[in-house]
Amino acid sequence: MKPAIATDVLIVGGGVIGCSLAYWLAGEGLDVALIDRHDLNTQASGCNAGSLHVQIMSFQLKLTDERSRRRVDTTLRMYAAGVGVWQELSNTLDTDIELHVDGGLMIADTEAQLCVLEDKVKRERASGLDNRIIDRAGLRALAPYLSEHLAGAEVCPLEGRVNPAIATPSLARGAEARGARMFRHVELRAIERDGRGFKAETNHGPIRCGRIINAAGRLGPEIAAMVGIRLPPYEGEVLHMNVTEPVEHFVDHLVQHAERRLTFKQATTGGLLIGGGWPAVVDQRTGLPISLRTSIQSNLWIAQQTVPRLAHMRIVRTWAAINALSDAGPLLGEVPGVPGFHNALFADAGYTAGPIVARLVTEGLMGRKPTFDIHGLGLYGA
Amino acid sequence: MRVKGHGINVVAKEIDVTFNGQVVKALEGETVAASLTAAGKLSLRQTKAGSRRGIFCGMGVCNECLVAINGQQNIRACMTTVKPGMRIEEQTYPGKLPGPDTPYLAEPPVSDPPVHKPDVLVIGGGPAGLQAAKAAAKSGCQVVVIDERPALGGQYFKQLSKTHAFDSDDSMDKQFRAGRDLIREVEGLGVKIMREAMVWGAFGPQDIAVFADGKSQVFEPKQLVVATGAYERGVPVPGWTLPGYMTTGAAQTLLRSYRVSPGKRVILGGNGPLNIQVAYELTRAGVEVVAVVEAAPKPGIGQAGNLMRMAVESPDLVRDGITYTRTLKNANVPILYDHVIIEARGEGKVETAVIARLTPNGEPIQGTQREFKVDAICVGFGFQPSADVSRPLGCRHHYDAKKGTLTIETDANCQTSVPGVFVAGDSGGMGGSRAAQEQGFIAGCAAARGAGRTLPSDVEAELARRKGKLGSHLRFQAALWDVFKAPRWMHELAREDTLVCRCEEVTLGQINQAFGTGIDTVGGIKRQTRAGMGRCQGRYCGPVMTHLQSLINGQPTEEFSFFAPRPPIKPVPIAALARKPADA
Repeated sequence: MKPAIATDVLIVGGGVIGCSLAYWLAGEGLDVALIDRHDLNTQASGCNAGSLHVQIMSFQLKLTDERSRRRVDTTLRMYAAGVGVWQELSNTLDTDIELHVDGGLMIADTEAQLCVLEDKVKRERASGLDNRIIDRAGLRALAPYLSEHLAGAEVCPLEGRVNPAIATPSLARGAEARGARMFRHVELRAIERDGRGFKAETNHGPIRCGRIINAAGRLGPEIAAMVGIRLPPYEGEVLHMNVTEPVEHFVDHLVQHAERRLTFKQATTGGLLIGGGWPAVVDQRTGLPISLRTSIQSNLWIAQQTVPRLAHMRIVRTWAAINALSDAGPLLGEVPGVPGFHNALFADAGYTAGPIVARLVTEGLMGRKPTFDIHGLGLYGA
Repeated sequence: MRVKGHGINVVAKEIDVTFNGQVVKALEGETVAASLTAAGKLSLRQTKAGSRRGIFCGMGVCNECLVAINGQQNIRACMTTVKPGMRIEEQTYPGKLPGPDTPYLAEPPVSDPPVHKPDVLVIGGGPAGLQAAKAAAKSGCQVVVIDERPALGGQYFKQLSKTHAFDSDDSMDKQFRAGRDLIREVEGLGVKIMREAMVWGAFGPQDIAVFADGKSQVFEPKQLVVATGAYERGVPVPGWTLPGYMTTGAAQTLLRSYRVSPGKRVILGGNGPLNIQVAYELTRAGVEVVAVVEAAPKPGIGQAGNLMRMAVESPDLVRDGITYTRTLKNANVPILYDHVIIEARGEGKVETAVIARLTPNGEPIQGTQREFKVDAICVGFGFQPSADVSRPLGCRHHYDAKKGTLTIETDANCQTSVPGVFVAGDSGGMGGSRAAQEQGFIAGCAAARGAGRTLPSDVEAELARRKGKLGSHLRFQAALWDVFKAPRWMHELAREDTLVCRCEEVTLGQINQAFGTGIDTVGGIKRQTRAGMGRCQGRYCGPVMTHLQSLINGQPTEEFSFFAPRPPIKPVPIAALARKPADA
């Protein structure tokens, strides 16, 4: 599709952050164009399983240096605020995005694990989260579908799920309805200064724009390099997910394990989405992500230990996709020294945070005071 | 309805099962699908939208004939053997939660599942797979054949089930006999045969995951022969999801293996010789066949060259064709050339078939509609190769625009682009059962060599003979399909409200609308509409959507135009897969 040759704001990347940006900036009455080198919502945004993660995840607990700890504590508040933005969106978007905030459980096999969770809860409560620990009996009462061998769990009331396959396209449609123009299969090749704005060279010709927002996710550092900015690299982590056949609703929560690689929830269709960070690989010849047998079998073993009823169910699909990881933390807002160039990059559990990231960048671009206290987030200019 | 006569007798015990609480008489050893069809129970499951479904593919691919058995959910009636006292119920959507007494789908493994390391693993026990096993076994290889069905033979050589017996060999037609002889020969060669064994994942040439005997087992063969055959193309027309509307192959399995007719008044339609053969078989069995509706024009003088070519290459098959058409003519069963079934109608099951005449361009002509009151519609529009093992292995394929199928790339020895992986028969691209057998033998010999064996002289001689005949069979097939040349419909017979994705109930209109928003890949449409996310893994809607994609984005269809191949190849019980990780 031929892109427009001029726009006020050019958004690079059609994932959840890019589409949310287009939605809000167009809502501000700005002239907005979005480009993606693929279709919209094809990479991490379209291929994640829609968990709304808020509480500190087990791998984050292992980050003990002061800088990482601070980052985790701050992003924690951002996730919590992010869920609130999703709740707002579910009331304003044109479709049911299958948003459910029915709480999340981090389950523990042993008393020792539960102790670790107790420390974690203290840390989270200090960040304003209403998380709490429940014991064996409390867990039986709250989630009778779980194995009776579990020692207890941490409850995080703000966690839940959303359907990324519905939510991102809905944001994109909303943006278009507000006048944003979305261009698929347009790849950014270079950025030049053009007066006070930029000239963006693409495979479909140049786009003149006043401002550029880098919402390219994993490719964000490559885009930033086009204006001479060096960002820490993103890593692509190839992960796989399992989907069971649909069954009557019986799982209300987003469940994850305190120590083992397990996350699951029941989607609106009735299928359970089971993952937890098990690795997949990319086929050398075809370039397609492919699942590993050992990942499928190990992931399902832990799942079945946790939910005995899975012995009555089948797996009907799996998928593998590339998740974006970075040590950089959030990179949000106008880059010092490059007026008009904004980053909107956020790695871990980015789908939960996508809309709030876009809102913060929108507020920054509009020169407004952010609605979320961004102190300590490492934002440019904050 | 059960058919009788022709020197075939029931030998199985009659047993009682229940369907939705009603007693149904079944024959011990037949499939649940056969028992229920014989009893006139066509509607087997309810969909999410509340409509009814029944048998469609009859071979374990489409997942439409799901029933609940003794509380266990989502059991394929066509692949499950009936047992006395079974409590069969219509499958609801979504599946019900298990009761306290519901048996597990599989017992969680107590120890590491078995790992098998045969010289040659053959996937598929049809014409190609059996010949491959024969060649490799005769060359001294230790061979395992795995097949998903309860009996060997595949679709072409499917045998009479053990519920029945021929009163003498003379009652057997030559297709039965050739299949029986080949199966016997392979069984006599010490080949290990695993029936009711399903490949759920192909993770590498030496990492084939199989669900068999209630557990997941791993094969690490030295050489792999993929002979997974083909399945019928899905051509969406209004009403094609009604119970009673099934593939011609499904009807043939019911009839040839279980002596059950899909209905009392049957119409067959689509394109190709199988419809005429099955119409003949149904007619001989005393079933009322109201018409065979063939999209191709009646072979005339213009086809003399092709008919001559066919008579030269395989005169016996031409004779069979003449027998079929003559029998149909004598029974007053019309073959309506230049016609297509454009719609199935009925309340909860097939009641009426609507046909129309076609223009020379293959468009139904308004005003030429005719209606037939029937209780079964059997449709075959040709086949799609089952590339569900070769694709995840990363074997190079290409799209054959002439045949409209994904086709494997192999050398003259059926060796694919992945070392040690051979593809033979229809799973690599349609060539018919005779070519499949030659390819199977060729692949079996190459696999034996790959496993370090030297071919005995008699095998060498047979290999040379079969290599010599392969060209003849392929010329026959080319001429045959030239005679049956017809429009290759994808979405064209569907209306906006016709389901393209049967599993997730996605209409042509919804798919078109999604394409209209600017999405231009099948993967994007899948995420947006759920088309292709269902239990059949997009086997029926996938090719239609790929075709629509090429119309939208103007790109020619190629190897990567289709849905990405994902495990499991078919739904598989979690309990069988679950395996303790090394660090747990």
